[in-house]
Amino acid sequence: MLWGGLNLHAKDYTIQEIPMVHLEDKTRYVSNPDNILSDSTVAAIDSILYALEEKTGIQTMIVVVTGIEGGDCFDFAHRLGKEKGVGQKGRDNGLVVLLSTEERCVQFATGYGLEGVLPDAICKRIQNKYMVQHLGKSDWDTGMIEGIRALNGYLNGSMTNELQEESEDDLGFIIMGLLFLSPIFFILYRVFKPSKPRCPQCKKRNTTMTKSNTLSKTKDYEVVKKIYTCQDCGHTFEKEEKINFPKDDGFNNTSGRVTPRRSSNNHTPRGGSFGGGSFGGGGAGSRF
Amino acid sequence: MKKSTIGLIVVIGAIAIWLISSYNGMVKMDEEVSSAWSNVENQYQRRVDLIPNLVNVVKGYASHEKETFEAVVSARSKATQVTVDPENLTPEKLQEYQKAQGEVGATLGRLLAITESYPELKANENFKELQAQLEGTENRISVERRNFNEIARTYNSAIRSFPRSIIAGMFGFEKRPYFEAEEGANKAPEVKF
Repeated sequence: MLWGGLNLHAKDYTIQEIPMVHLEDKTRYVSNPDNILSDSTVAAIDSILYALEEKTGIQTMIVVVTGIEGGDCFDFAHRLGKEKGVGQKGRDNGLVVLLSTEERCVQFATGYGLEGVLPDAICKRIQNKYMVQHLGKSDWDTGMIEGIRALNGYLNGSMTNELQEESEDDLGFIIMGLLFLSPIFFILYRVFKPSKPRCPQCKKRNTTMTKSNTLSKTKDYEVVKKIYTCQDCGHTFEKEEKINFPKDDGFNNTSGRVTPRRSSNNHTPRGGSFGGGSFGGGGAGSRF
Repeated sequence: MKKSTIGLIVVIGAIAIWLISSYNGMVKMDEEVSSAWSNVENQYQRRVDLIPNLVNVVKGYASHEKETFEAVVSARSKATQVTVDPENLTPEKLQEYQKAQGEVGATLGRLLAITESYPELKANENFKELQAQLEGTENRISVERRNFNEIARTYNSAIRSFPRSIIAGMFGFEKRPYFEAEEGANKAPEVKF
């Protein structure tokens, strides 16, 4: 969008253009690319929402922009939640709050799992009672912080941040599967990986190793000459084998391996994630 | 001779596995279409359920707007009679359903339009929350409709693409209709605050 730079007042954001601050830093929730909110407001909202997620698992995304593409606030907020997967998978406890100053709208989008705690009527009430009056006077900071505080009042304590059951189930399933399949793998291994070579004379596998000599040795492998005797026909033959040594577990071996970027600074926060919650069109919107 | 028999068995086995898996896949998709359809119906039902409360609240302030009330109520009762079994979701059935629900939407729009001239009604907390619920339901309807269309489209393209279309024809998997783009009558009533 080249023209975005020319027009200072209204950049119409697409879903993809909304910066995902939470993914870079798990303690941040407010996407404020046009600096409509002050830094202190952003920090205050972030701290409320971080505490909320720690306690309840509810994942939020606050987006404050000058304009949105299409101009449909409900559609934009809903798609943000759906496409970015805000909320834990299975619990669907995502919440998107969108404020667009050009459309003069504030919109909440609640995930399926929040529709009970935060019905549309409550969303509307929060907007009417705490937000619209301030937003109408273009007092974005007060309107947003009051709204987020009110939302937090409803959401805090509404649920607990349980570990995601689904992933445990998946893990259990995988473990059970491996347990059941392991005898089969074992048998297959025994069948298909013969440990004894075939006798070149009588073509039977009934051979035993009688002697082995190391011919050469490097850092990575050694070459061994083994002498086998066939138990059936008594024929002796030799065979050279290359045996690879087990590799070091990656501490010295840096090539071809992507290690997580470690910052020298311990305070660098880690990126957060959204779990992939679903949205069914819950929430409410107001114009001011 | 023996080898060719084994080869034949392997080929038949592979075909059988492919047949079973694509049949099961289509059954699963068919179920998804059905459940998407019932989600759509649930949301329309939810809107219809809001009507009695809404009418009662408005009546308290605008009792003489009788015609509008009657129109909403009759559209509601007509719409509740039109139900579609997802198993026989034909284009005609869907159109009929959409028409009945569109009528509800249109009369609701008119009802909300008359409330504009009653400031006391508009200040009523109960009315405000009903309006918020109605608006939320309209949003959910449009979300579920879109969702249904997407799922039906996936299903339709799956059953119509070769070679699956052969199995689909054998077992009677039929194409599902889509919701038409919003017509004027069916558009969500604009709720202004």
